[in-house]
Amino acid sequence: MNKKTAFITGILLSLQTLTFAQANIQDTINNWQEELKPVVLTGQYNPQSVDKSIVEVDVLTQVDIKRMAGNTLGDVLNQTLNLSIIPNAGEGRSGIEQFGFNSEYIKILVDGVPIVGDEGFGNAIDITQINLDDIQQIEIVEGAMGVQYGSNAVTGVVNIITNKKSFYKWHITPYIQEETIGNEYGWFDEGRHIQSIKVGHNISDNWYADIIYTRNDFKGFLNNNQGKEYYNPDNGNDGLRGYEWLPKVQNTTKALVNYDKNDFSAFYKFEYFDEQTEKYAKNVHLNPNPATQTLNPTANDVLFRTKRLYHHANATGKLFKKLNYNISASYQEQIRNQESFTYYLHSKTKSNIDRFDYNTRKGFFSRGTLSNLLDSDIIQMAIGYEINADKGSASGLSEQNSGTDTQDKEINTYSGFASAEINASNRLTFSPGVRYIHSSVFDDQIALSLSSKYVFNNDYQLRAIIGTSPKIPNFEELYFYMVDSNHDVRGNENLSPEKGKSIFLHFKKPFFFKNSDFTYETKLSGWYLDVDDKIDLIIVNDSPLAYQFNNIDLYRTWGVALRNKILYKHFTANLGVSYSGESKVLNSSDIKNDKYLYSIQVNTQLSYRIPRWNTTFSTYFKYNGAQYQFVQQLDENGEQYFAKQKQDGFAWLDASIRKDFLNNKLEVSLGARNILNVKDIKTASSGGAGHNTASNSLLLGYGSSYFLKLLYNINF
Amino acid sequence: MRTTRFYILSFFILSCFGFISCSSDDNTANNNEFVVAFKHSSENFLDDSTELTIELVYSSEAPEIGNIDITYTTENLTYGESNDFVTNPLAAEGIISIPVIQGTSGTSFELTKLTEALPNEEKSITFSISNIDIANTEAYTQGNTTTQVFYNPTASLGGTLSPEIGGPNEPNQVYLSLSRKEETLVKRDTWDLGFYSGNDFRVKLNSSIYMFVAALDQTDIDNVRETDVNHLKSGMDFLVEGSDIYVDNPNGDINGTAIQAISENEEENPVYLLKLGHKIGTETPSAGGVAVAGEERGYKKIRILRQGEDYILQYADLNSTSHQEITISKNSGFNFNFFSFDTENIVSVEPEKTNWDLNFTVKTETQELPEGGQTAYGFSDYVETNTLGNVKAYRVSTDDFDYDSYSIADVDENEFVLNQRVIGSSWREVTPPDREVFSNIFYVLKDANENYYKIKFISFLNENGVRGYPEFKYELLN
Repeated sequence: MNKKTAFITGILLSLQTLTFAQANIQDTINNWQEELKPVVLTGQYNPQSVDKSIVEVDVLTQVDIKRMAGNTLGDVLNQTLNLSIIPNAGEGRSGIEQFGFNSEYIKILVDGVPIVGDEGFGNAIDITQINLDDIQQIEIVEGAMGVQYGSNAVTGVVNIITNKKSFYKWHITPYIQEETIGNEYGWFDEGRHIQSIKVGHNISDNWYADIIYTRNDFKGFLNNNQGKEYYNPDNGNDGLRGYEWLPKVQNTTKALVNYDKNDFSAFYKFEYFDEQTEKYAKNVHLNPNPATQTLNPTANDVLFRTKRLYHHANATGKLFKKLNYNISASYQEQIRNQESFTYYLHSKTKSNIDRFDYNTRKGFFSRGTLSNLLDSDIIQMAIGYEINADKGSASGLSEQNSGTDTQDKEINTYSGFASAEINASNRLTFSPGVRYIHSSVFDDQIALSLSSKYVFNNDYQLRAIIGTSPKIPNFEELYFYMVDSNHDVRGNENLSPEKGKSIFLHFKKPFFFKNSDFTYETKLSGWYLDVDDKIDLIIVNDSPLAYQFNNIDLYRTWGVALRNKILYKHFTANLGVSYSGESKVLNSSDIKNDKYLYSIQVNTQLSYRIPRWNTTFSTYFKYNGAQYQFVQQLDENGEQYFAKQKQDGFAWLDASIRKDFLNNKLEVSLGARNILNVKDIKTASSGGAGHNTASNSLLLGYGSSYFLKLLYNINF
Repeated sequence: MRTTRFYILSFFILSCFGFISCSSDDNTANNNEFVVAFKHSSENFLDDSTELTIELVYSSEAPEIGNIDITYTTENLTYGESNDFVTNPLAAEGIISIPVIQGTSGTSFELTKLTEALPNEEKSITFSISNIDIANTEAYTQGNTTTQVFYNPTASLGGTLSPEIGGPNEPNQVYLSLSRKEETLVKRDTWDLGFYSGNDFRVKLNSSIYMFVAALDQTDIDNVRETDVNHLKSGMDFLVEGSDIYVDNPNGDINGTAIQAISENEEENPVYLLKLGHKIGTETPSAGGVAVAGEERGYKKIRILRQGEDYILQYADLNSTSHQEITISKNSGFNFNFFSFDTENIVSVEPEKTNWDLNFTVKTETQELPEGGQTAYGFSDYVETNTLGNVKAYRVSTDDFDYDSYSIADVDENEFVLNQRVIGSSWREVTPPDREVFSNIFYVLKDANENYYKIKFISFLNENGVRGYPEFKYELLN
């Protein structure tokens, strides 16, 4: 180790002598990024300022991400209104819930291209697997965007825009980040340890390339559990072996080549991601031997390995000096492999090893648009195509029979879309759009959108956005099969896509004050969103009892939100409040209760920068109010009724200090996540007579954790 | 300035290296103990047998080769070819030396008795493990460090039994005699109907393959067509309200069979629709699950009559206009005489009624539906007691009594019940993730010969978590 250290230190020393002239370029960039109105790409044919966009786009900037020391998408979305991160600690993954719909209803894109996931492109993504080290900004759009992004963009879209340029000839950025996991931290066995290096190079005025490697080692959260080697000789089923949150290690390698010349630009982006998650059984088979009065404890453990490969080539430019084109082509693969084995705790050996791919997916995606078709200031037109050849498989669909446990699904989707932007007057713009989706599996679908923007006097802006998007049934809904003498539960290959639609209204006003650094912007939004033909497992036959998935329910949500933003000198503040209701119309159920149940969310962000110290203080706070839902229960007489189930409210509070040293060469972030120490929250349902009948807890966090990030910029 | 930078950079690199080069903060020592014991703490010769295998078990697979030394003491017996008993391998200077083979989990030696004992003679041999040598391993004996072999037939003192129900398809019924330490394997789908050998005329279904039976309002078997019975089929299934009436009472009461008592008056015996249930499952379920029910076996129509002290079984396929007939006698000494539609003949299933206490089997139970009402329902790894052989049992909570110290004085005669369900499925939890054997209960059993045993279940999954590997320990109390 000494030799190696000396070697590396030597290399760095020589690199260091190469570094030169600091100047204030970095300062300028910081200001530029913070002050300027962000330019957005989501839902646009060409990059546009947020103000000009007809679609309402929320932006999480690189500055925000840096303040939160966000390494993966899962680190930064907790603070966003109407979004929640739902962790599955027992599987080591997290999904996004938006407007109360799970991660299969929100589409996740990188540079406009949906990324490969368990249930399709852009769908059911484990957001802890999305590395953010090359991110320019994250754009979030609420509402169905089927015209722009096709199926499964029902509740909204998260579009991650990557950075594709540098201001330096060479830009080398290593960083390390150390985090506690709750109160657990150790140099090797506990905590979270991140190491990363990025090298960017402007090869010429037109060519830029970079490469990034990041290792993210999450050692898991034990909480009350006792780790891998633990067993209780008196009770193998005390549930205390292993971890509460599974440990996992991720390696991400990314590379980019970008070319820019005049009106033409093109890039090729590559990513290779691998992850290993260790799932230790919480219970132990003691295998007592009464004769020898000894135990030979064994545990059925699993290693999950995920590999993801991402290629994306894109070209944008002008044809005939007028038409704008934008073409993306992407090939992606994901393999999830599981290795299950019996672990002998005494001998520390593995046997009965079984390895198989339980979820694979590979596919080709391409989208092209041609915009500015009409040479007119009044009407702009755009047309486009999208092709998605998507082949996947999933396991766990037939527990009783390993032969039919894995099912393949291949969906080829061909879409054409067109939209227009009509400037009816100086004040009124509206944009109708349509997409025709032809699929090799499902009936053809049509997605529609109608957006309009009206600018009042005094900068008041009103946007009305209507959109639809179908939601493709998942593997379980299509292929699940558990039929034996005691059960009959089946998927349904004849399911249709669910139908999502949404209406959003946004009323916005920025205030600028003369001779003052004070600016203020407020936005009031209201929405209605529903998913019809929602798939549910219903009783299709009473005798014998048989269940099957069917298109039957209607889920609805509506709400209002008020978002405010204040900038004053080096002080910024955000305050958002949202109030929304959800209603489920369960058409299969004999008893019905489709009343709206309401909940509130509040988010605030405060940050203050002291330029003299090169230091920024930030806090983020989000309160998720109590949530309610109706659950079916049996009363004393064995009759079914709906009980109102309450999930307690909780709040995320994060804070950080960021300081730049050595002329911005060294960036140090010190912070705390989840200061209010949220771990699990209670869900309880109250019976008809007002007594509590059941109480469960939902694991949401691992308590307060602290991070230190040290990043070094070597620019020359 | 330069030096500051140097330190910062060094810190980076040192840290990065630290993480990659080491992966663990601690590493506890291997637990490489090796324990050897006799499988049972007592043995006895059964019936006329003169051979006995004395089994030795290890706490884990033997890590190396080695050797076990066994010594013996005797009561009114002498070792030797010309005396009372010999062993294989032979003893040399009072020590029987047995090799340990690497990778095995047990070994054994043979005992041959050369003379007989009179019933009132106290004759026994006590074997002891005196020394164990295994290379590089700390080896010792613990638990059953000795085993006592009785010359004259007595009830087994106890031990550990692992009924071979055969893994997650649970293909076997296993009939066990505790006092004889004997197991009888029967493939579940090799029989269909059991004709009661007692005073009553009753016929039971093979509940282990999920059979159902429904009485028809006809008495002419040749007159029944499939179209006459189709409406009954949907009711003869699990999770159907009221389907419990088409199966035998799971408590084992002979008066609770779904087929009514066979009447002397021929016209009172209706034709029955018989659902033959399922073949044994062949699929491989995920670990911890079962796949006990395979292909459906279809339906038959049957009618049962009496002829003196015998039964007459008439049977045919549903649409057949003629039928087969077989006379089935009562089988004294046995609970039932069994018939199979596959062989169309009498088949041997249960041991003699005094020679078994427990039956490990798949079983048709009845239970309440979530929406109310009763239904038939299938259970796996179920344990029936031999109620017709007068085997009684009851359940004890470890809150009230400790298993190890439980003695004959703690037995409460009033608690014993004659019910096949008394052990049933109550000994294990099958719902994931907490699949487990309940450690807070054990059972007391009284066999027909007034032998009292305490029984504690140890496991129902093997070490890989696969279902269908039950194991229990038991001990004679009196």
